[in-house]
Amino acid sequence: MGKRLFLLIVCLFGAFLEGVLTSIPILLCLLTVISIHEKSNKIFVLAFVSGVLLDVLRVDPVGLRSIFYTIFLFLIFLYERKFEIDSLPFVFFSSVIGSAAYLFIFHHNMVFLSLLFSGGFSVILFFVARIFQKKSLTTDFTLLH
Amino acid sequence: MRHRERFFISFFLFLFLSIGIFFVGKTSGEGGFFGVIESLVLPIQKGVFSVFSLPFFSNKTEQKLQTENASLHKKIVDQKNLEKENMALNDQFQTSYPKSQNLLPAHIVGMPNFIPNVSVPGLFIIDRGEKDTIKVGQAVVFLDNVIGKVTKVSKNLSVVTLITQGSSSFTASTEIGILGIVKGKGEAMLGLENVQASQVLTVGDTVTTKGDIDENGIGYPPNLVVGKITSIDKTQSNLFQSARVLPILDFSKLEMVFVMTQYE
Repeated sequence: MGKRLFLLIVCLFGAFLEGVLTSIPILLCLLTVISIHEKSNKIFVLAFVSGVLLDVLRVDPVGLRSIFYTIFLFLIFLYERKFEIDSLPFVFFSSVIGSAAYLFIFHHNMVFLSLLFSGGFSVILFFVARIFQKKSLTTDFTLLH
Repeated sequence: MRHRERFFISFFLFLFLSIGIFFVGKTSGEGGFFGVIESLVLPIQKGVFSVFSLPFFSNKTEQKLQTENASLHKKIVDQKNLEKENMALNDQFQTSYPKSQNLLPAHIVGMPNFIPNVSVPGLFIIDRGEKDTIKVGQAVVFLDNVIGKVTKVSKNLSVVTLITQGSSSFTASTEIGILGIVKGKGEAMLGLENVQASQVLTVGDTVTTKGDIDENGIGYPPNLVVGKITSIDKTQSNLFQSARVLPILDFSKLEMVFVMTQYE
């Protein structure tokens, strides 16, 4: 429960950053890494709530980004049956492709730089998530002994 | 298998929920429930913008000089217009422009750009909306300088597309009355295009709006400062020439703008 609340807060913070300060699809990168890392259906809740918030902040039709994120995460989960998604290349390319579609639909500028940054940002988030996962596994192992 | 079933149930549930919210928002307008959400997040939005816009990096002296520079440019244009008009009529009808009673102050609560405070923004999000009688198409100004136009409105917020955006286009004229079309070129630059090749443009000339107010009183009013000509592109074989125009104000440093709610 604490972890889910933390992820929700992180997604909402990402929505505020993207809604107020930057045109880089930060929320999309966050949702991509969380979905690959957690592999839980609860990601759709995060996508829905943070998508609605971002639509409100950007004065866009509410629900539009939620639809986009839901479909995008669905496509990621479809790939899970066929490919190893918990890997660096998949994180990078899925972020870049997802960001390209996002920037095309929501009409942002500086597309090429935004794509590169999205891919890089997702890779960094992926590594950070891995480090936290290893630390929590080490802590659990220590507690068991 | 159960995990897969739950996955599809979750996906379709949230997809239809999102589509439902989208259509509810479209049919019933952006007020009501979403207006309440806007009211709740507006203070957080303002707080995030004020914290992360790094005010301690802003150069107050530079901002003051820019403001003074902008007002001086408008004074130069006003002075030249006055020389052309009848002095007796100007003494009788001279007023400040635009009229303050037609301006609605609005704080900028969002300025999404690639790198905050570094790259040039393409739009502002302001804390005025339908409840403040803001409408799509209204001009947004700051110190007699045109900033942009309102392009999206919700109950509490509005989006202002800047004149430097590629989608922006309006008629303008120089100090000596040469007409052209100003188009946004991105990266804080404008282009003055469709100027007849026989006309003489000069680097340093101030460009002002020609005016495109419609029957509802919405649009860019005339004689608002757009910027200064920085370079001219003229070739012998072309019927038209163009010029680069640099806005006098640095839009990324603005914290407040004014919406022209009506034109008189």
